[in-house]
Amino acid sequence: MILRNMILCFFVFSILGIVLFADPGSGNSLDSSADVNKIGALKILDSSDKTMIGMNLGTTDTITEITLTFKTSIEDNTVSISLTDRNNLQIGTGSQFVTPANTVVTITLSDSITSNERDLLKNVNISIS
Amino acid sequence: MVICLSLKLILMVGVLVFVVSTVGFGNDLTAATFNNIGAKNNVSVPIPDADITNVVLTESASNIVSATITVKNTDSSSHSYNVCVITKAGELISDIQGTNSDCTNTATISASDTGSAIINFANPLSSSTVDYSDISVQQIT
Repeated sequence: MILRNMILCFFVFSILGIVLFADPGSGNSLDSSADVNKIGALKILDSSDKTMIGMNLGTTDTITEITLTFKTSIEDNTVSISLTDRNNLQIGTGSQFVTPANTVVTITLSDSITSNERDLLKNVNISIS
Repeated sequence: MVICLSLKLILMVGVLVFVVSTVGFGNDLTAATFNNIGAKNNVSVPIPDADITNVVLTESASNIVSATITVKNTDSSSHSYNVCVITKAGELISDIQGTNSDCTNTATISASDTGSAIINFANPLSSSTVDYSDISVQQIT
């Protein structure tokens, strides 16, 4: 009788223990505030050999022109910029021929970026030719 | 009596095996989606209420030593942001792996206002070869 009760107790506590351990292990959701999970990113690829040291996108909701500052002066070259969203879709593009020599280039976008597109802006590619 | 005891034991063992196998097969393991942060199929990470408005790399003695990132709070209430920058020059990167030296918090920025974060690079980069920057903005308050 005592042996039987001991065996039953063993199984009961075993099951209880497994249930206790299984509950946290079954992936209770990691709740955090909505603000903490808001993350955005911007990747800038400068394939010119002039070293871009400044990029001013402006503070308006839309982007119609972008001012780039380079370490090395540019002369008689065309600076191009391409902007894509998180799905790699092009949402803005523009180019500017630079003459005379200057380190600051303002590019007016031929395909400007709307307010909604600005929220999705992810990649900026800069090139010179 | 013996048969009754055996049935109870069989029942208990059966329940035990069932519970163990259920957990073992991971019926309720929903943690698989936790690793999707930043992934293309992650739809649970909303974008912050902020626009990056200006990026400036600061040069000192022919090296890029810091980045100043200006963000605009596009929300109708005040927020502060954690801004991180990784910049690459050739094979060098601006951060030391495993540290948070590439991140700085902005002060609280009022609605529609701008604020800046200066990130000093742990590894100064040769200014002639800087070719890539990766900026992240996380809304923290």
